[in-house]
Amino acid sequence: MKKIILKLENLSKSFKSIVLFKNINLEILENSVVAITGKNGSGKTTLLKMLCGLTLPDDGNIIIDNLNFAKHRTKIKNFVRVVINPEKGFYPNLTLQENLNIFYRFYSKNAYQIDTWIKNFSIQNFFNTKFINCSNGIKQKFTLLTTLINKPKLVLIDELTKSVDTETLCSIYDFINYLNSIGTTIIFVTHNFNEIKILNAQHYHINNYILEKKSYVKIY
Amino acid sequence: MLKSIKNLILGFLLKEFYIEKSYKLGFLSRTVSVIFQLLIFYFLCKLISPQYFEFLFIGILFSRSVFYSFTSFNEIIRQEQYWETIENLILLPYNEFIIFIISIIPKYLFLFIETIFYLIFANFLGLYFTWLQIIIIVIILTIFNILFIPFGIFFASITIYVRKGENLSWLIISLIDLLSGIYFSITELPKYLQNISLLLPTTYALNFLRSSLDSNTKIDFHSLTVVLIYSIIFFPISILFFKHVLKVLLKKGSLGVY
Repeated sequence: MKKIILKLENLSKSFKSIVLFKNINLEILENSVVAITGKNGSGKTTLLKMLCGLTLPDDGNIIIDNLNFAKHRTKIKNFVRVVINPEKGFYPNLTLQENLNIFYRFYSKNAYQIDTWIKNFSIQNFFNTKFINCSNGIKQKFTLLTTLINKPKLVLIDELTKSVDTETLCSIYDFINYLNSIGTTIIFVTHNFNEIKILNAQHYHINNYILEKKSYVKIY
Repeated sequence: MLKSIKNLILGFLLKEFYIEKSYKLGFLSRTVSVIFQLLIFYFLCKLISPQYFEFLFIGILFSRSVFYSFTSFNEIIRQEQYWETIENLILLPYNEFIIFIISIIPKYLFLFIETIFYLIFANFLGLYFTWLQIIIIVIILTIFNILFIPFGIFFASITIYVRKGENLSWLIISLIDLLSGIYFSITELPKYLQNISLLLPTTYALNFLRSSLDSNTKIDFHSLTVVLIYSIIFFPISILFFKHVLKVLLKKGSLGVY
């Protein structure tokens, strides 16, 4: 039987007078692929940021792999990886290889199967290019690759295929399927309903401060 | 645990090495600017008194060291905010406080190298430090660098909270330069400024350093004790303050904003 990898208990968040979430409850089983949709400003990115500890909730509990985030922050950070704003997050004047070396060292580990995915993403020729000089698409793919460091249990991705050309879309979907095949749970934010169907993802929609589970995918 | 801390230290050293490599003239220009400053004072002192240059040299060395302690923590955080890498650092599987404390180690390593370089360079300006004196100076400055870390954490917390807090750090540094006996003895100051000077831990730290180098005077351990007391009091305060500021920024979701 699959265990619960993520549990939200009465989670609430607001910024001054803007209420984003009111008493959200949610359970996600391990090894799932979950898509989150919602209008602009509905709190999709904030939700991801709360799940990785970049933003603190006002109230409620976030439990990841049976550990309460409020008490086991450092332990949880060991197996949660995040892709938010892939155009940022790495040292701009260092090359992709140098950035990767630094993060390998920080995590004390190399990335699982990274060479294969560097080839699949066709970014091997950019590894000596400074991060600042890479296109947004290359940055997106590089940032996705870094989620392989530490073989995470949970990966959170904001706008999965943002800045990516249509040719690369398939390799990103393959990458998500690969992550999932090695036991990782993936939660991604998207505006593309096709993506949800292609990745056979569970679909949650943010509406009126709560997460509604959708049993069907509406394609616009 | 120790192994992961070692990896965190090596990670920051690697980062600093790559960054220095990418800004090739950074280290050189910093060093040259201090050499020019020393040369200006050297020629000025020739007009006044050669003994004064020795007094001034130790003061400048101390001031530079204190400057690092007070500003490196702040500088690291602001730099990571500017590069938009701070959120990736926060996400590392370590306690946030440990991440930032360790991130300043490479800065201190540079300071260490710079200090030795200046002490050797001083030979060309007629100040002859023996190796024993060089070791004593480096050890004492390192001790003060550690003891002044709480102040650095405190100012960094203010800076990341109010955003424009660098001005405050500069104000404090200027105050220290003026009142701690760096360029002239504090006895030259009017009485009311001397009283303020006696409230600053840097005044006592510099007293201790100067007394340790002067073979004619007793080493001023009283001054060292005062600095130690300041540090012990400020250490828990600065940690609590930093953690509070971090919590507030994480609640607002604005830690990554420069």
